[in-house]
Amino acid sequence: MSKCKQQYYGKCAGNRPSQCGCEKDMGCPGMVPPPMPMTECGCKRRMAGMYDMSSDGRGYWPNMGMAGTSDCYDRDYRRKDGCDKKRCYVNNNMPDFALAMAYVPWQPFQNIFEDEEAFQEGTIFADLNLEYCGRRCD
Amino acid sequence: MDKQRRCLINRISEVSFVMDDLRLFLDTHPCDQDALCMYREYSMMRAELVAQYTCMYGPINQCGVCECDEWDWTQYPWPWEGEC
Repeated sequence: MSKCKQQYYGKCAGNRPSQCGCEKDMGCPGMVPPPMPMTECGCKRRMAGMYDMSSDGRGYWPNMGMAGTSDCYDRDYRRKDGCDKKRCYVNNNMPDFALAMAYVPWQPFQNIFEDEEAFQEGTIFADLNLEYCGRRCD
Repeated sequence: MDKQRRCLINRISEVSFVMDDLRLFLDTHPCDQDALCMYREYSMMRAELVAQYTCMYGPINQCGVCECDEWDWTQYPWPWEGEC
């Protein structure tokens, strides 16, 4: 099978035929995920965790990965299970992506911490030093 | 533990940690020249630091034990003696 070197940009879904000009099904080689979703409340902080969909079709970051500025907590988002915690939710901007697939962007070698800070933070990569602001819905 | 010794062991810990994280990155990016270059640099840096520490305070681990005429691994204070 020939290798398709052209990258997909949010157009690949599972093993459907390649959209990059290759004749054979290539799966999703080199697929580049879309930018991190932004919250409706204007939160621009990067968020660690798992992106999910709520029952009404809106995407959100569940409690394990909910993070962001305090603005995120100003919106009240009630879930079906009765949880009335204020949630930080975002629009689904991944409509072209297959469901139940995990995406791990290729990490570039950049933004390296100074040694002392790396040792303190537990990583040499500033890009991986994500703030954990998740909390249990109770 | 005197200040210089603590400073040296802290520096070795920092450099060792950087090498650990670089190793993880290189496991998935084996051809990344920038990461390789940094790993080589830190590898040399760590070797120098460990040599300096070993010379002044004794071996850090069994690999640094002097193999001359005496097994010196047990000749220095143990951790529970509060000096290392």
